[in-house]
Amino acid sequence: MPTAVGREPLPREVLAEHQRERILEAAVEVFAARGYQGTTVDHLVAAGHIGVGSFYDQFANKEECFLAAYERVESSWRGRIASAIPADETWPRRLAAALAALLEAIEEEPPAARLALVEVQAAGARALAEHDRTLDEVAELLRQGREHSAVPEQLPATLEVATVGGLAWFLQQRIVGDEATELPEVLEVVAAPYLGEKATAELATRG
Amino acid sequence: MTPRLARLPPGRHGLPRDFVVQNQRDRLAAAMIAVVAEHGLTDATITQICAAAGISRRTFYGYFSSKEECFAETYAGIVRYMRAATDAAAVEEDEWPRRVRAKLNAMLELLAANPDLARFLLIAPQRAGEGVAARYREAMARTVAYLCEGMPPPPATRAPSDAVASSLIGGMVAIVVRKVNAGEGDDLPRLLPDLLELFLTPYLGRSEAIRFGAAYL
Repeated sequence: MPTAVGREPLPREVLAEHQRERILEAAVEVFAARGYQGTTVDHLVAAGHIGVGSFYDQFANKEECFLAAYERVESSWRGRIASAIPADETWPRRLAAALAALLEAIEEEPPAARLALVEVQAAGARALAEHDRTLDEVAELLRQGREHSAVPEQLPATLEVATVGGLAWFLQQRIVGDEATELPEVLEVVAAPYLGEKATAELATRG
Repeated sequence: MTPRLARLPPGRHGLPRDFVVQNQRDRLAAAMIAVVAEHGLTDATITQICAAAGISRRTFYGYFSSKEECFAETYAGIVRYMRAATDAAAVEEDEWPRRVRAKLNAMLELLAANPDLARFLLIAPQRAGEGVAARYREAMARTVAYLCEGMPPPPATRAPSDAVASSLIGGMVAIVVRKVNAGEGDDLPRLLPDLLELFLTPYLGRSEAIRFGAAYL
């Protein structure tokens, strides 16, 4: 016999999942505003409008909450960037599309950007390891650019680590300084080592 | 484990007060480096630092009001020490790229001799929260300015964009940190050609930078 829609209590897991999402959404804002070290569980509880007990039902501590919030931002941005990359395009075009999507995400979600690129550095060894893994993945994608270099044999073995590290460093400063970043600037950092300056400038203007 | 550092014999040792103070401060600096390299600035405690230095907490507070103050002063002291070493290394070189090379080489040699120093200088500050991290980024920007000192004006060199110039140091630090984290800190001087090429390319163009980098392989 059907019961009245909306009357039936939601299953416990659905409620828990809903609560978790609500805490994580609030946590991104709190960590971004107060910094990882300046944030306490009390801050997270207050911002999520939940009880302390409910917080600890979901997360063992502040660090676990940060890691979950980081993962949430990362997978959302990953999806966003992946769907922006055209399938049947050359590496330079795909790179430009991916970077444009990254910059758009940074601009539209400043707290998430602060969490993913700035606070992650201060949030302990596990957060840092997650972050390093992401940067390594980006480095792998950049390595494909070597095929487009006029002098592939001259590129140093450390080029990708340096390029990704340099990009992260640069974006951090822009995020902390609350300054916008334009695609041509980022292409100059990331694409120019492979394509040279002329082709990079062309890529930046044609999009 | 944090090494215990040599301490003065307790009680009356007849040493001049200036010497005792200097000795205690040097031990504190060495202890600070070792403890922060191992635990990070956030988790390092004054108790650990005092134990490693072989001094009392009371003596610590005679010199510094906080762990952060001790960190900042130790950091500044290392930078002064490194500047003296890199200046001395570069003084004989009359061409700008060669001076850059001499300075970078001297930095890598110093860090390789004591990988704790690389952890203290390059890894710990980024992880210590935004206040310390912001001062660290300023220190790194000064390092770039220092490497650029005496650079010939255009057309011999060119000015890279703000984005390229500011990402340069981040890239160099990333390579060094990677090697230190891999436990290969004593091998840092091998990075010289890569760092040199990375740094010089925006100012000289890639082919010139490669020429200078390769000249030292």
